Amino acid sequence: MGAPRPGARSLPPLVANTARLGGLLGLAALAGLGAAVVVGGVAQPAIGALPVFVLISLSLVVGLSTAASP
Amino acid sequence: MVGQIGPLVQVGKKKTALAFHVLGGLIGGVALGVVLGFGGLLLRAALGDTLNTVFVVVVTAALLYAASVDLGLLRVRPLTWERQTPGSWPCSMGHYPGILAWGVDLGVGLTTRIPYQSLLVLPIAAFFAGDLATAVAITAVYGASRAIAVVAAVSAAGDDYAAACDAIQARVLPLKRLVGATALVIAALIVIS
Repeated sequence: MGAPRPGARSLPPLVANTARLGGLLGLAALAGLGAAVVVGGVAQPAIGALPVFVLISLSLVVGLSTAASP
Repeated sequence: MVGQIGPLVQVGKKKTALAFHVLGGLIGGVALGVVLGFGGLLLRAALGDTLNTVFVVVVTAALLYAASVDLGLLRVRPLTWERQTPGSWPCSMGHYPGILAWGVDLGVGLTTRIPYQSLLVLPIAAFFAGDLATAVAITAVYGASRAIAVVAAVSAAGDDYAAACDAIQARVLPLKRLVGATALVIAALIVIS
């Protein structure tokens, strides 16, 4: 790690951690929704694109909500 | 998991350890999806287009049950078991393989405690979809996102993992309600689609 850039401001740890947390979860959500669009749109499943999209969204919500579980 | 992985990632390289955990989650999810997807293909070969109707009925019923329990409307004993990922794996397998194995175990979703009943809908939907790509997508997204949630929590915790665990536990009930509400909305969307 080098010296901080001149003029660069360091964020308070709580803000930096929250931003990191939000960024990671946001990226995960985008990736999941991207997978949903690809599978629902390109693969053309027999059950229809909308059920696939919403079920992958449910996977995303359940998965991102279970960090505390053993 | 945050309380276990958190201190461990300080032993080796933090980013490498967390990457192994996410990779494990993805592998676990994909593995379950492949098994359920092939099972679903066999079911589709047997039932044909009737499976689409079966899918709507079974998955909607499962979603309504799960939403009712997670929202606290239906007070029944949740379907779950008490097994947890063995804490000894990093010792018995080695540091990174142990963290990878934890990811696989959690990514499968069905081998450890079931925190939300809505989780049970995912393998059911993956099986009754009767399509390999759909099954893999549903379970892989779950496995990867569960691991990423652990990574996010560990990253945000700083060095105080106990406090992070307490903060997460304090949010379990609101998260359960959120998951239940999502399941309810999805049940409605599947019925009208």
